[in-house]
Amino acid sequence: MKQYDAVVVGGGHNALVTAALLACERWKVLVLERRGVLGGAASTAEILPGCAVNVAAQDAGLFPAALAADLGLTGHGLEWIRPPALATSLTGGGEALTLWRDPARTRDEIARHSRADAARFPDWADHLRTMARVLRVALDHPAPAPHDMTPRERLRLLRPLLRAGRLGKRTLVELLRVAPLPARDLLDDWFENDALKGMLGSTALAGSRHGPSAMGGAFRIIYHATGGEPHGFRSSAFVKGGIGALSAALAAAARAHGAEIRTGAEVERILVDDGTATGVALTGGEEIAARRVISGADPRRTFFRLVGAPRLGPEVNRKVGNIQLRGTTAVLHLLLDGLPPLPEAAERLAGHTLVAPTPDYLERAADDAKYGRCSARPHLDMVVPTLHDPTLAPDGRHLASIQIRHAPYDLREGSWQDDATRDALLAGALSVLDDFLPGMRDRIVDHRLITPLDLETEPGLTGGDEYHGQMGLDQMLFMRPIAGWARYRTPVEGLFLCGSGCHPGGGVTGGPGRLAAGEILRERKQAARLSGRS
Amino acid sequence: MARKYDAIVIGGGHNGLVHAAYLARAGLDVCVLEARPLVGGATVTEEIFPGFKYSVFSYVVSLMRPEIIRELDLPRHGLAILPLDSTLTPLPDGGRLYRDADHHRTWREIARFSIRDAEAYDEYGRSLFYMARAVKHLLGIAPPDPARLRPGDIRGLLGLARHFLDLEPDQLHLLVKLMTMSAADFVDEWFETDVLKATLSASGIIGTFLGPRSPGTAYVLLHHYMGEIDGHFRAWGFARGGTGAVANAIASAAREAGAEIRTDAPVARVLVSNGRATGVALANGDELHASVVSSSLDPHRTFLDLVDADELPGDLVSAVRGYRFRGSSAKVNLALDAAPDFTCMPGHGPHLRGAVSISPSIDYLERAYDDARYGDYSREPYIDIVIPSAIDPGMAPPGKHVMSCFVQYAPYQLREGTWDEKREAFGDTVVDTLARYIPNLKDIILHRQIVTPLDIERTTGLTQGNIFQGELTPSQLFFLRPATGYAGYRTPVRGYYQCGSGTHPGGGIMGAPGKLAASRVLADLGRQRGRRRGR
Repeated sequence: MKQYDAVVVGGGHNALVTAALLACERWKVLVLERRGVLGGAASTAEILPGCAVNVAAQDAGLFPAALAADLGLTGHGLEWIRPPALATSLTGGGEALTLWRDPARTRDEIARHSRADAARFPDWADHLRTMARVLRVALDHPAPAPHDMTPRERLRLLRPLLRAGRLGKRTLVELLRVAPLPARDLLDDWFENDALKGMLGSTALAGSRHGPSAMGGAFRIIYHATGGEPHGFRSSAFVKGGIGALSAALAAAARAHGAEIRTGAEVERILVDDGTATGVALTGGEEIAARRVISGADPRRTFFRLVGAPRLGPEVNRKVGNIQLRGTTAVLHLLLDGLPPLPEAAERLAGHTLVAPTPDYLERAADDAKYGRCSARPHLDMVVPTLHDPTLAPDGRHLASIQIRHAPYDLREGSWQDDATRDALLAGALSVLDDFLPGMRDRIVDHRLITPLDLETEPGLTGGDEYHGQMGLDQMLFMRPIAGWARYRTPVEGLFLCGSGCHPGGGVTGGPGRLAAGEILRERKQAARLSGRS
Repeated sequence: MARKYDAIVIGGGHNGLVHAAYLARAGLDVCVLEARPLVGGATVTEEIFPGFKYSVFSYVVSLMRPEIIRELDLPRHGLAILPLDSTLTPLPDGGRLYRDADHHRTWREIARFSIRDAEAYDEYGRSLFYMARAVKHLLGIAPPDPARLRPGDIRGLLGLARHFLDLEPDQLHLLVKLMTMSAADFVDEWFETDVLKATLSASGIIGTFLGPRSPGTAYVLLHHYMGEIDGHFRAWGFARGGTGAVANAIASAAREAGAEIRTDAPVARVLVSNGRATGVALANGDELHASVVSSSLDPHRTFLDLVDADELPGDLVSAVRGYRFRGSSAKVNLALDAAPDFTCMPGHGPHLRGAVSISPSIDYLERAYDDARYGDYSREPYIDIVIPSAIDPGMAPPGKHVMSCFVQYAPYQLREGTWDEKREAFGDTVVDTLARYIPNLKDIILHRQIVTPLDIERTTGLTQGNIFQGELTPSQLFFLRPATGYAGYRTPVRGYYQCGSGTHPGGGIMGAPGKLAASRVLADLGRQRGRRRGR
């Protein structure tokens, strides 16, 4: 039996980051991906004939440039696209409000709706940038472990504390005040125009089932602005060739350092001997031995399906069972024979295109989900990747990938397996599109709907939760994935987690993968030091 | 000649009175100014309908700090707290969940729904008890200011860090959950029975403009768990003679210590000269002078109404403007000709001496919130009922009853119409909702008093009718209450202090803000506490 230093379960982007970073340290690493494509929720696949479709994740704006540089991703074919439009909000009747990367242009655009808001927007952009910079410090370091305050741990806290301290005491306190606020309250403090508030508030809905009045929304607005230099909105950036090209570049980097990557290799269970992970067993019976097993799957899948609940104590079982995995997003992919008839469509549709006309609209969309129903009038977030890369669709056609919120995974009535449920969701989304982008419907040549249940079966997201756990303040830092196990270790010796279910959280950030690799390397060094001493 | 005092306290609510009592006991010449003819603020008992005494606003006691009761010797001044230790949650189908102090009976009652829940119930109670004990420490200290970091602040923060890091890991994690989760999610981690979850999480929405599924409500739940009567946490009580008896006892203690209490004396503004408070001007034009002026009113009145914005730094003014009140609750007080007869527990049983909670399911509470979010009062509101006359027969004529109904949600800002127009319709909604569980109710109502958020504001002065002088959400707690950098009871105007529920540790009949603010004043005056009167 072949022995690896580490076997990585799953080929999502975080798993690939961990694999690549460990391989850089000359670890013998094997990545096992169940599916034929790499990238997990950040993959591009031909789910419409002749098209390369970003199945779930669309945007890679949170992926840090430093990490991309460390791994030499541009050398492996990664090409960033940062379109001049950040986002366009459809406000009804063919009207639109666009936020541009160019602040002057944004100001002019907002001034058409509200002069006061236009005047305040530069300050807002500064404020958001400052808050994001403070949050960044927390995201760049392993979560503090308040339950383990050994002198060594205290020492580790020093660096982030000093870095945060340099940003100013008042700024830190301000983040404490702002982060728990409802998105709505935060935006009401700044702006008067509903269209602008709906647009900015929509970011708070990503990663949560809650509407804009629920607390913690401001935190998500800031979280989504932690990549690159945000301009008053989420950090957004796309990848040439689709988001899968990022995963492909990560895989190429890992391979270049000697990692092995096998697709079509499904891990059936993690082998545990006397409380220690010893390797994995694949469907089909093959067993692979490894000193470390690192799971990129979400924590519930890792513990309940791959390790098995009986191997965990009742306390851990309870905590894993209580992780809030609440998928609420469906994705509708449309093949279009032309751009929708919006003035300056090619320019305005190049970022995110949103149906989030007012905070109340978002509120009502989320209300339905509270009672286990699909939103009758959902919030939509559309990306047209063919505007940056025409090769993704054949014959000059366009692809539009639309995230539909809210479509709860756990429906109270009906099931995602019923055609009626899927048809109703599709009809609802199309009717909203009709209202906000009149004429779009006539351009549709083909479509493919990915429900939350599909997200669970295909990339393997438990509960269809693309963030591997809701992005609420109660599932952050040392509370993520479960309290007491926030340092990528698990109650099973030698088993680590590296997916979005860990600190700092979900989105295409590479953060959990990077920090997990750091912790795994540290643990190894510690173990070596201890054995050297004995 | 204007009279000169050592200290003037604006507002004779329970915090203003506690504040005055502590200052007077330290030897200061103190005057309390109350706008209404009676003291108490929102802590009053009034005979609105002849023979029937209503606890018009606040209706139960439990948060009152035991050290204040002890130090001011309130029982000697007439305070007697009668236990209120059962909760009945009636269900629309005639079923019920009844919990009382009898452990076995409660176990059996919950086990009718779920044995698992019955087992978890004790564990849940114990956990919250530990949490309340851990947080209790905070109720007794003035918040340090991490934005300034003077030596005292650093000491305070280190002390806090030590306090919390000394907790067991599990307890620390539980505390973080309580600070960040929704009440519904929090109880969902323990229980599976919907009605049990609903009635427990209802404590998390009281006085806030959030639904049970909204993060942040778990803290309010804990806040209501911090009640302590004779050393028992989560013991709710009812003051003999109604809530006003609490204020009267404190007022009596303050008077005994030498404080003067003037009623019908509304304050128009605080006199400021060269950045220093010198006294107050009353609405009738009289001026009273003092070197210390403490406001027990809410932050909006304390900073925006009583002093000139020019006297304050811009960041404070804008912070107070952004400070969230959002009154969300109302009261309906009923005078009844007979005892209410509940379908689920007919007759005159012990349940009438406890609380009754109309919170049949989480969805019910959430829907009630949905209505309010769009600017309407709940069509089927959450109602928390006590029947004071069943506990203290002196509250109503023999054989008759008063019923106090706390109703949520009743948003201060209505999307359509005004509260003056909608008052009666709202009262009908409440009575209709109640009648579903109490079929004889409509026949026995002799009088009803409807107290809308607007009425609360008009009568007590609480901005937007918020019973806590501002929402108890994480952004408005501890060193953020009422604003970053202004949480230490001082204000930028020298000699002007804040001592109401709008400061740490917040609302409820707790008295802690009044006492902590008094310590601040006395420390600033460089006096030893307890120094004898007469220099």
